[in-house]
Amino acid sequence: MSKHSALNKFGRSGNPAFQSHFNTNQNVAGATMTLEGTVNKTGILLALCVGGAFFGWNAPALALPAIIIGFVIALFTIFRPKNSPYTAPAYAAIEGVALGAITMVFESQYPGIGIQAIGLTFGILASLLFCYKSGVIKPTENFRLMIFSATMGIVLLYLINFIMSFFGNSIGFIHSNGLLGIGFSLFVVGIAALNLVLDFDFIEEGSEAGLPKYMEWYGAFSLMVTLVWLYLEILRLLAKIRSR
Amino acid sequence: MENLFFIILAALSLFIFLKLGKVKASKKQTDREDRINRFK
Repeated sequence: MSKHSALNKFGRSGNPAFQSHFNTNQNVAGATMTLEGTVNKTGILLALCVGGAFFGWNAPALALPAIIIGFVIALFTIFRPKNSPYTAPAYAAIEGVALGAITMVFESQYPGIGIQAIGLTFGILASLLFCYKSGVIKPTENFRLMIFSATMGIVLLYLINFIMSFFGNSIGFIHSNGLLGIGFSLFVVGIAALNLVLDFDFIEEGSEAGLPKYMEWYGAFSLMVTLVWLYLEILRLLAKIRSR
Repeated sequence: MENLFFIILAALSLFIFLKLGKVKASKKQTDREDRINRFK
């Protein structure tokens, strides 16, 4: 039992994909979760995402339907992790379509922004993985609580902004290319990046605890959710900087 | 030239992730008392 009641109530990680709906029975018959399996499955999901992105690039009108379908599949995966061997690949392909379409729109305004965002996203992924594996960054309960709170704060802010948009209004600094807007985007990129550390820790601990094999897909799915978020925030940050 | 830099960065980072991700974390990371106990 965690000493933090908020963690007990809302989940174990800042990433909503890591809520406690999985089987923690350590005496699982058959194959168990491994680091290698999870990384291989993440590679498969990334390949599917790239495939979907090629499709979305040529059909930008599919962005909104893909985002909505991807969101529904993500929720289904979070609440039914046992189905993740089927839903995680579907999520990756659909999100790929959305990312391809969104990237095409940004590229038409700021040529080269897509490859810059991809490079920075993978750069952050590799550097944080190194920091995690070497023990430079050590996730603790307080670290998790901090990242979870900040993530929920950002989600709430985006939700309020979304509701306000129906009334022709918005929270100005979220979209502004001023110092406050860029500072906000930097903060969000930082929080999204630190969620990766919690993902790595979950996968490491899950493989040590011998979770069921399907949790490899779930771990890979969780990494994908964070990577998609990180990529979109980097894209927004670069667009803000280049529009100045 | 700038794009080439980001392409190399992405490819190299992905390679590092696919290799380093399969390696177990250091003792400094796994053997500590303040670790998050998700499954205990």
